[in-house]
Amino acid sequence: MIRLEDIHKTYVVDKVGNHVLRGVSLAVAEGEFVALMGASGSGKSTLLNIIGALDQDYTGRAQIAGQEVKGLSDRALSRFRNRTVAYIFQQFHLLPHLSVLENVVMPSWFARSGEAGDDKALAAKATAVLDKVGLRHKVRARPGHLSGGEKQRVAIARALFNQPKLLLCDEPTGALDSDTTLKVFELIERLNAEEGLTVLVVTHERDIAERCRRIVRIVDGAVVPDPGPMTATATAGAGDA
Amino acid sequence: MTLSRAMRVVLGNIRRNKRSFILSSVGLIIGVATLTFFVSLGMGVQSGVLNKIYPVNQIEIEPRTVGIVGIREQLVDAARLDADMIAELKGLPDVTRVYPKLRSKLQARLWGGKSLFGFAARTEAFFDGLDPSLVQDELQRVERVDAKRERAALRRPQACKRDDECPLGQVCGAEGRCGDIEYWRRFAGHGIAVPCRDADGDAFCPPGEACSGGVCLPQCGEDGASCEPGSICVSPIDCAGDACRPHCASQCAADGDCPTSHGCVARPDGARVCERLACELPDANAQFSDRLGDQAGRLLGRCANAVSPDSPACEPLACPDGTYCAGASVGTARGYCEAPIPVLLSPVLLEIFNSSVASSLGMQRIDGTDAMLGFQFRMQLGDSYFAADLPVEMQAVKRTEIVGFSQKAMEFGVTMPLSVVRSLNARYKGRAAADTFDTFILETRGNEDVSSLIAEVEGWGFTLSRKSEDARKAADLLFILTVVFSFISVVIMFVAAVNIMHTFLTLVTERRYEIGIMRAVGAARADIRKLFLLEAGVLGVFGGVLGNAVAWGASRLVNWAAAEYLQGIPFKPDEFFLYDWRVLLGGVAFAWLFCVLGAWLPANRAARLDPAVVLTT
Ligand SMILES: Nc1ncnc2c1ncn2[C@@H]1O[C@H](COP(=O)(O)OP(=O)(O)OP(=O)(O)O)[C@@H](O)[C@H]1O
Ligand SMILES: [Mg+2]
Repeated sequence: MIRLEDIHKTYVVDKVGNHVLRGVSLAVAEGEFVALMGASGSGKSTLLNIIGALDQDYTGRAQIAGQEVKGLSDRALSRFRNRTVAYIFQQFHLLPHLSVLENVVMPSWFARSGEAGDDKALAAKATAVLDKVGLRHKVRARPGHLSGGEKQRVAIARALFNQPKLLLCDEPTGALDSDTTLKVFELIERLNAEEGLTVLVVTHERDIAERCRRIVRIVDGAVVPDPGPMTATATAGAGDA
Repeated sequence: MTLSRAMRVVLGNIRRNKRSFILSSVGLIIGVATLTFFVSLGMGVQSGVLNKIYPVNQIEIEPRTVGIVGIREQLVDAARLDADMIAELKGLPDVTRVYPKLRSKLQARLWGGKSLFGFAARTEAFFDGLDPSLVQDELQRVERVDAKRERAALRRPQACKRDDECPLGQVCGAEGRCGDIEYWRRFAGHGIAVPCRDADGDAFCPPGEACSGGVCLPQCGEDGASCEPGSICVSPIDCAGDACRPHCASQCAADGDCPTSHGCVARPDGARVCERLACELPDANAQFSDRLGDQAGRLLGRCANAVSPDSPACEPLACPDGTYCAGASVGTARGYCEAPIPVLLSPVLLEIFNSSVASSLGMQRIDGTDAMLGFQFRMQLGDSYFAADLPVEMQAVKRTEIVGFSQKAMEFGVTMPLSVVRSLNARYKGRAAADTFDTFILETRGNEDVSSLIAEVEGWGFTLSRKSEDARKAADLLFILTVVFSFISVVIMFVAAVNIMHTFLTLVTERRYEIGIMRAVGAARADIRKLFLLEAGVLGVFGGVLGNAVAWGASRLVNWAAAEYLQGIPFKPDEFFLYDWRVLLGGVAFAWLFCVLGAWLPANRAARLDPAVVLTT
């Protein structure tokens, strides 16, 4: 599902280069649940942006969901973000002026003409997804009137709306208390288990990371292999390429 | 992103930012309102005021005069202003038509108006003649002939044979039905009976005519070749000898085939032709009677019953409807049946009358022009308050009838069909006074051709007539004013566009998270740009439409104010604006364009926002 080879990324601020990623290679198979850990500023978000096709300014090869992302046109990249990967952020990033339902439906705005159904079909689909995250009763609410956990669940519903293959979560529970954190995480786990969604979670919390089947660490701009049940297969896959 | 979806998102955004939307549209509304208001005013004044005085593609030229120690001299010899000059002017490139104008060269007085003013007015008469085809459109417009016909179509037309079978104000039309009088039709080539002496030949007849049996008539050779189709060459009945020249007469079967002042007469050789109806008044003084019925006259050589005209049993016939018996001179009771001479008045004359004459002389003001149409007064030719009178046998009384109003009519006098003035000038001042003209109206294909044409004829010694010159100056001034105000409106819109750019830059900063989120869930750069440009486009159309509405409202206000405060000017237009859909559409398009231009940079900046940066910081 994810295959990174020798990814280098340097941020240049005021002519000073910051070599954040220094040869990251990583392979994640379909259906995996991977935790990405590392010190603050180690480049976790940077790596997630590269995987999620939000960042094109790097060297190395990145193959996501069987697609070489680099060099795609803006249109193709946008479509890739629309159909194949989905994001969940720490700050939820919902549009405050839209209702919960409209927030969930939003990815369909950018579908090709004729691809998305009519308003009724879209609303029905969104309601079904919201049902899955347990927020069916909040369809009309504005994000401002929701709790943090509810907001994140709306964000998850939005991420799920176009049935992506890969879910990228950047500290999804970073802004939540421990109780809510558990509930949201359980929801993500369920999606992985029941729908076979490949999940990559950035987290600082040890106990959360430990629930994942595999932990990957970034140290000094490179991925440090972490022993785990899936590692052998993933590494073998990477070696084959 | 489909356009309809983008539109819904944009409308949602506008609803969210109503205040900034309205604020940024204010400049735009003012700009568009200024543009459409002044362009429409310019066009309205051009078509509603100036074109009525002189259409842009017409100029009137007259010989330039130069003053040498108090004596003014014409640069073009008056004798050269004849038919050849018309042909020469017609030969100029861009000139499509040439209309000569001729001033009267004889003294005359006119009186009448008792029913209009309350007492009979008297004045010296000045008149000129012009080609009826020059003013036909204008006369129909001023008379509102279209409205007249529409009204008539709603009525069931009444069948008739003669005018007096129809209700008042209606005449028996050609189809045998009563219809409203259309006065403009009466302003046409109108043959009046001009007395002459056969011995003078054509010396006192207008061109193409010669004296035949005491009146000027179309001349023909013995072969009759020069007569128009339908006419034949005949010599006057009861006339023999060298002095009796043959003339053309149109063939007919019955009286109805001839003009009203003519009857169908059988000639000794069996041919039937139209001849002027000769008539006699009870006495010569009847010509001065104010009772119009006194001039009905008695036809000579015709009876209502089938007896010889010489027999005492002959029942007399009066001149036909629409004609009266005009004595050959003030001293003779005999003459010919004639329709009144149709004349046009200048609106300026009516305005002057209403604004000063009426009040200082205690007369009624004349509202509107309808009351004056069909009004008759009398003219005494050869008689003057200023100049010496002509001998009595040269003086004649003629009726005239007001048949319309034209900006091309003489301002201090009346305007007749050209042929009438030619006949009268010839009768009183000889052939040359009918052969040459005073001014020419040149018509060109388009407005652009006029300037070079003016330069050309100025080289020939002509100059623009005062009225034509004024109209051109006014048109130029109007054009400059319109351009200036259009320019000002463009500047306003430019400032509005800069303001819009600023607003949109702020919007982009305000919405950067939104943009980042949209980009993260699949919006392409083009989608983001589309959203901003579409919002600007909606703003432009909104501002444009509202600007047009404001301009329209302002124009109604101006029209209303003009109607309210400029009363008593009968020919001022009701509508000072000409709203062309192209101008309105252009205003909206302009607003749209300036908005999109203003939003271009912000939209591209929004499209270039890096979602990774926006969302993770
Ligand atoms: N847009 C940017 N421009 C310049 N430097 C950046 C940018 N984004 C991140 N960096 C730098 O790159 C490094 C890695 O940042 P990144 O956000 O990937 O870290 P992180 O591992 O996600 O940290 P955290 O756990 O605090 O979220 C940091 O030193 C950061 O300052
Ligand atoms: Mg981070």
